[in-house]
Amino acid sequence: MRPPIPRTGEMDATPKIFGLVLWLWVVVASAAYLYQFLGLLGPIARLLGVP
Amino acid sequence: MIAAAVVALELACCVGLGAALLRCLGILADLKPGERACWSFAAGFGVLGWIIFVVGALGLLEGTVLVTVLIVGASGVFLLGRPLVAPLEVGRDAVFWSLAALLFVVAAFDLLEGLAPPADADSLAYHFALPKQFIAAGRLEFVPRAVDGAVPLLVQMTYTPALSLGGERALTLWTMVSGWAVGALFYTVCRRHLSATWSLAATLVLLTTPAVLYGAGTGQVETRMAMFVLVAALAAATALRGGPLRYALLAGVMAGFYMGSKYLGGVVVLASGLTLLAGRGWLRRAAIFSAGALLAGTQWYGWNWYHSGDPVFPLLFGWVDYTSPGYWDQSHADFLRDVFFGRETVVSRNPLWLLLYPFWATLMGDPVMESGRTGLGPFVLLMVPFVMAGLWTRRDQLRSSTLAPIVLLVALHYALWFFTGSSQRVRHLLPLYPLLLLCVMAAAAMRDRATFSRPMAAVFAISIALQLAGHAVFTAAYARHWLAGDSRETFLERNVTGYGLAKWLNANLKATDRVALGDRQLLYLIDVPVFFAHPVNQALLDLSPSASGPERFYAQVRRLGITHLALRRRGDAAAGPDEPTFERLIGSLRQSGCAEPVEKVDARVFASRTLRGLAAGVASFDILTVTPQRCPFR
Repeated sequence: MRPPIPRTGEMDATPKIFGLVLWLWVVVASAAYLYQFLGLLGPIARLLGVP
Repeated sequence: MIAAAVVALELACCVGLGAALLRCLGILADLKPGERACWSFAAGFGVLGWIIFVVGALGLLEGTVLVTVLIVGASGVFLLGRPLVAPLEVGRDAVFWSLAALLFVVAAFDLLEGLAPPADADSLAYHFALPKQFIAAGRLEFVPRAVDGAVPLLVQMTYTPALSLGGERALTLWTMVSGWAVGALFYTVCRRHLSATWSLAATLVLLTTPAVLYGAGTGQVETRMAMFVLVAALAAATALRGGPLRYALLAGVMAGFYMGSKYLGGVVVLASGLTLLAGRGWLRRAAIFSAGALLAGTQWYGWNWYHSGDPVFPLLFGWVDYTSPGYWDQSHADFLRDVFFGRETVVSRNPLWLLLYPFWATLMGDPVMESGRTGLGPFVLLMVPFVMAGLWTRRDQLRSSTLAPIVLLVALHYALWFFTGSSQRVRHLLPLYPLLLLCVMAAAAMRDRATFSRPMAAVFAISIALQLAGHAVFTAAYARHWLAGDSRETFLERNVTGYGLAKWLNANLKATDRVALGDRQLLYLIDVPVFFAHPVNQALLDLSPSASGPERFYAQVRRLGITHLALRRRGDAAAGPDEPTFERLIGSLRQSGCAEPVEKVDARVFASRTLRGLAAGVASFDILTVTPQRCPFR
């Protein structure tokens, strides 16, 4: 029995998820760096009780 | 005009000396046109520093000798051969030209800094102050001061001809040019592994890195030391892949130049040497490498040993005999260990922190790490998943990669740096950063599918935009100076904290006087003899917490020829047990009748010259004169 033919776009699902993860990393890491660069992360961490 | 001519001559001298060295080693012919000039400059920069050391040690630091050295060195330019640079390939895309335009913006910012007087505190404290002192003396002088006096000064030696022949303007332009040279060399190195557009993007990321912005246009040595590491690593990699032994010698010489620029240089020598031990023929490679490193990098260690008895002054105190007991003592050794090394260590030195340190420093940086305004930027952090994807995709080719020895060298260097107990300031890793950047770019460069290339383009855009914005803020003071046509005095008053004190001292003291003060950023700017009264780094004037009694302090003041004392007035709040020793001893000297006030000087002070709002205000300085005629001590 022949395997079912994938529908359009299904074959690219993994790279798309990976691409999404990459974008997420870029956005979150950039924001985190910006916070620390501007000196905001320290005060926020202190507010949250992080030594 | 004279300043520009001196800088051009020194530039030609470095290229010429380097071309001669590379020609002697038979390496020049192996290089491509653009590489020949850049590698030559890097090698010649070290050779010039080495030559000026010899000139200074012989007491020949005078105009005619320095001009002769520069002209003779510059004659080597003709060894470069033609063409000097590779012809520009036409048909570049819009991205390439956009990056090139941004690079011109960066260069314009740098030029504004290069045309302004120096304002960086470290540069004013010793990178520029020591060459100025040596020029005035006509020879090298041993400065028995830990951390910023009796240290390897190869890079600072290249500042000496510029300052001596072309003045301060030539000095600042020379730091600008030598900073650009790192970018040019890095571009040619990248071109071995990457396309022109990728190479240009990497160069732009490098040249706008906060630590580079902070240091390249000043006297800081780390940016310039990156040239030595780049060539040493490439030469070591070539030698390791079965290249001729002369590449091992070049790697040794360049690592030696690094060692001659900073005590930390021993780490790069060790890392490069260990890298060369891999594979067959390791013994010969290591022997030749070591010979090159010793020849190029031990002059300052010998100088320190000759004058103090300690080649790495004062780290071997207690292990070796000192030539003068006044240079250092146990209380200063303990004080330095506790205050300097203790304070500069933020995270524990264990394998876990070895892995976590880069992330911690980038995202949670402790003020001691200085990873914000003078850090390495966000680029490598943002590229982590792209690098991992690239490495995974090509996991079967990693061992045979031409970059494998360089990755090994970077890893060894980082691990040695981390575990050897040196300062954990991020910018001390700057010489290694271009190599890391190259490896990151090469690992990620294969990701050319849209899924990867779009977020990666965003990484470039975010990194460059953030760093360029920082560059613009950093350059604002220089742009304001240039646009307003301000005088040197006005610029220094705005950008050097406490400059008013230096101004008063220059106007009121004579060449036969000598003033002791603790404000390091004024040392270069004071034109009369000065003694840096540091509480930890020197022992000639004992300011350690255990120092007590005015009699010994007075004897030391007289022995050092100090006629005036300048100290910042701190008010009653600083009095009591926490009062700094310098202030306390001056107070007791005054009570004993051995010193009396002559003037109170108000000067503008601030915490940051870039971010002007940070703790700005006016401070008062007391100037006292030593009064031997009224003093009961002898």
